[in-house]
Amino acid sequence: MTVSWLANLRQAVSSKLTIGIGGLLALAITSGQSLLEALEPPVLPALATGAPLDAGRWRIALHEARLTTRSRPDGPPAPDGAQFLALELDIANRSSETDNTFARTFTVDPPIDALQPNPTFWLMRDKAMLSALQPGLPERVRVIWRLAPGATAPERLRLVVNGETFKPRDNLFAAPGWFNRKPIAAATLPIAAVEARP
Amino acid sequence: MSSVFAKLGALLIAALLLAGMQRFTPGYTEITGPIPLKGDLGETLAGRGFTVRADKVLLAETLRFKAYGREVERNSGGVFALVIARLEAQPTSTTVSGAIWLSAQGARFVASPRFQGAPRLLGTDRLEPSLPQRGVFIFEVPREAVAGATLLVAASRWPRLDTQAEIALPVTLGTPAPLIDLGELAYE
Repeated sequence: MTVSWLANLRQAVSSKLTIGIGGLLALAITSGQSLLEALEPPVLPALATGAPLDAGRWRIALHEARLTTRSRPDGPPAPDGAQFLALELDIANRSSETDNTFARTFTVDPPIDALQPNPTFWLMRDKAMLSALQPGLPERVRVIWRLAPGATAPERLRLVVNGETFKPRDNLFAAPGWFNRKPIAAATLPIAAVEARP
Repeated sequence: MSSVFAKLGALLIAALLLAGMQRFTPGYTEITGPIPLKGDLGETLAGRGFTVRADKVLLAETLRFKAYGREVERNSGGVFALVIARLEAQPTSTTVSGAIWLSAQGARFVASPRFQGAPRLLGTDRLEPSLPQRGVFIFEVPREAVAGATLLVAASRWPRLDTQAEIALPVTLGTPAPLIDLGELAYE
């Protein structure tokens, strides 16, 4: 009787200990992770103008930013005197599939109030809107933001390039995909003034 | 003591079994993926919602066409691959918008979106039963992706438990033509 009571107690204590140890371990690991994330310095490697960077799905090279009066590469100056910010870049699809998520590869950071959101991407080869990029075929692209009317033009543009990592099997469907988008580099481009009107 | 070893062994075997199953059993996307329908050039393939026959493959450096009354010329950093094909809905009206050039290296090239308004482009208009459409799929691919490719044709880009025609294309396709006018192409 006493022996079985003792055995029961031992079992209860050992199972409680096991559960407790697991919980403590989980707690320690998550706290450690959040501490590491908090400690991580927010300094991103600088991306030089014109230098290609492999950002997961995309390889991009930023060339120049300038103010313009044209809303599209082959159009006439905008009639209402609106100004635009044009960014030239080379972009190549490194993945194995035609893709159109290029707009997410960089963000303007810090955000510039004068820039209206959702810039248009133009394929310079066609002087037409870019709709998708084929794998292994680099293209020259112009990104055009409209400036808010009456806003003062910014002097420099800081862009943060986002990288993604490829997973051959994701956690939900075991399907291949690109995940964990996070900033990997930053570039600061001077903004050239509006070209003189002919 | 031996019972402890037996327990550990059982645990190890279970872990190995699970790891093996995770690694070697087909995933969800494979189980619910496309149903392949293999064929060759010139062969009529009857899928669940459509029939397809690819007749000819052409390569071109530049393509010219008339869209919305304007002459348009398109060039490429790679090469344009044109597949002249015949599509027909079967048994009800449908759209076949998932044409893919699968290269020998495994890259998937969706039909180029740079040809809006071009004549007789397949995959954009709705298909009707017993009204076959003859036209062209246009792909833009790097030169190294030309040889030994496969044409995939399905109702959508990612067919789920639905037909995907897999048409083996010729291994060698010759040198690309400098210019093809889509208006003068022989579709019949």
